[in-house]
Amino acid sequence: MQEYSVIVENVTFGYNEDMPILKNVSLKIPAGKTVAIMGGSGCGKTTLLKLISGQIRPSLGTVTVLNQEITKQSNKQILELRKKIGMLFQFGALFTDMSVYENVAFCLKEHTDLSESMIKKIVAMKLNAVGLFGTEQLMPQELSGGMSRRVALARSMALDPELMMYDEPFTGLDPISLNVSAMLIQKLNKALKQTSILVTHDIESSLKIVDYIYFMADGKIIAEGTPMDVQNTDNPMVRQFIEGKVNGPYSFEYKTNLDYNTYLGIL
Amino acid sequence: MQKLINFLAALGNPFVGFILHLGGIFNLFLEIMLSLAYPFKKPTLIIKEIYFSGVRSLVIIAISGWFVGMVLGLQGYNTLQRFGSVSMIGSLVALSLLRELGPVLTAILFASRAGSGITAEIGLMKATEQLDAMSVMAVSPIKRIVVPKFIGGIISVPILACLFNTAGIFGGYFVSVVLLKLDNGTFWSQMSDSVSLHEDVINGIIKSFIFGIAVTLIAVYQGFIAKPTADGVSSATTRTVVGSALVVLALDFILTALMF
Amino acid sequence: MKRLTIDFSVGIFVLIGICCLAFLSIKVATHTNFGSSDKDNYTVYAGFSNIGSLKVNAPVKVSGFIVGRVTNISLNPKTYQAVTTLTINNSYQFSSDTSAQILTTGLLGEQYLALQSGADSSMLKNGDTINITSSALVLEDLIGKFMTGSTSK
Repeated sequence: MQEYSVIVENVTFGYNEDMPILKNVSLKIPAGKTVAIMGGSGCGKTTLLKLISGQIRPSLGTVTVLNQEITKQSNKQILELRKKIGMLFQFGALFTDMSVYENVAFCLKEHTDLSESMIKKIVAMKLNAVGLFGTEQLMPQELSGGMSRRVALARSMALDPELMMYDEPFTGLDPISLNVSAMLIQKLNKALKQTSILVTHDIESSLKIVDYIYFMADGKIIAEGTPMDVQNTDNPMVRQFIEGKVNGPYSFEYKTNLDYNTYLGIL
Repeated sequence: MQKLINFLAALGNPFVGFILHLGGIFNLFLEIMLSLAYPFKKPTLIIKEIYFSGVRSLVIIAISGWFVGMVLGLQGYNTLQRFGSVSMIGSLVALSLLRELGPVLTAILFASRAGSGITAEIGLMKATEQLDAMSVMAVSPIKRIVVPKFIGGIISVPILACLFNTAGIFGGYFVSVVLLKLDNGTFWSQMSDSVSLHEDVINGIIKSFIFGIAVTLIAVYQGFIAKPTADGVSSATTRTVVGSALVVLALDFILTALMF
Repeated sequence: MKRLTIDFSVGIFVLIGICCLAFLSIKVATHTNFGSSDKDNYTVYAGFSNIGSLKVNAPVKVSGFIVGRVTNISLNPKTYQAVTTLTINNSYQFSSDTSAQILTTGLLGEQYLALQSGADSSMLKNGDTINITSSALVLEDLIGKFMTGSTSK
């Protein structure tokens, strides 16, 4: 029997009633696997991550994370559960008023009773794992974009979470930093046997490191499969996304009721 | 008919907004009260906040107090001279500072110096997802960020108000005794004759304590509801300063009516 | 290093606050010659048929020197006299035939209570009553007396 770390069933969510961001979404993420959720900007990927981490609650449907149905749990129970979840934010979201050391040590200091010397060792190990040993005393604004992303990675891994979530980990990185990040994510996942969810729209890097892919558009899941399946699919929307074509079922134009020609008075 | 409806809506809209804000602030206050004990386990957090909001406001408060005291001395001298009661100047300076000007001006200066900073900091932390990151790490931002700022603020404001009063009294002393050659002994004895410890000094400190709660609460709340954009954060800081000034003046009226 | 400077400056800050508070409560608020605790003071009572506009906290003076304060004013329901409670510093003792008078500083100033020591050898004790009192001068009474006095002549 295969175990699932995350089960999302028939979830509907919207900040206001008329405009649901997610429409009846279901997906399952097997334990120990790396799964990517892909799609264009604004299709509800980040919202899905927030649902899984319990920051928001769905209007309909259930979310089960690490065998606990978080849609039914109290805030306190969710806080307990979050200690087993790590999350890497889009731009790192390092605490700007703390040094690198304090950032990485943050969770350890808040949730454990480890001694200061023990914490120092763990922080050094975590920083070494992302290749940044020796940066402890730097402040976040002294780091480059790629480095702060890696510090954030070290911070989210501090408590060795069972489930890691990455929100657009590759956005705004140069090709080298991007490959370094992708390599690190893969390496760390394999080493710690974590379940990982990768929200991204960077196809190339993610196809290399993930086991399974979900495609989303307009708050719905439109396709799923292994990287091989996805590369050979004939789903027009997925093809457009992979090839980055301007013309296709996925329009770049804003959807509006106004007609351009009538608006200008041409007709 | 439509105009009437529009008019009533225009009247009702800000009112509903006001009630919503009031509810939000009350909610935040309750949450803060519930986790008030947390930062006492980590006193460095509170010390850091006192440093940022209190110590950094020290100079501006002392200088403002000094000038306000000098103005009081000068104006008091000019007015009292006509009634031949210049000797009352000491008690005039001390009473107006201790009862009203000290607590009120300190709170307003604190709002613009430290309160706006608190709002901007929380607003920016929200904009850069730091608050989200913290709550995903199972640490409540209210406990870790807001409560230390709150405690730091309500410790700092009364201390700053005492400093303001002291600087102001010396400012008044400087004008009336050093510049206008009033008798040194008369200045102090008139003052201590009319100032009572309980009625004036203690009540003034109670006032500034309450103002401290109000100002830090508004600053923190505005930071939390700020839109996560540059524009949103800047208008939130403005709202902190303006809102604090209004609330402090209104509270001052109520407290004065209750106390004196 | 940085932690230390922060801790240090916060310590200085709190110290400044305590010094200011001490200054405000000692130099500005305390009345010299007049202790604030009960041990330093004793109370005596004095009844007046008219206290004018004498208020609680008005000074009690001897030869213009403040020796105490009026701490309470009440009405005796039997004699319809206003009874004032005077709290006087222990270091000043008065003979038991001391007289009390309500006077005004200047023409329109505040009213205060003046004591005039007598010749008796026994001293006023805590809880005693001053028997010889003269009431406040009320401007209307004065004008009235002056008018009737001049018409009867």
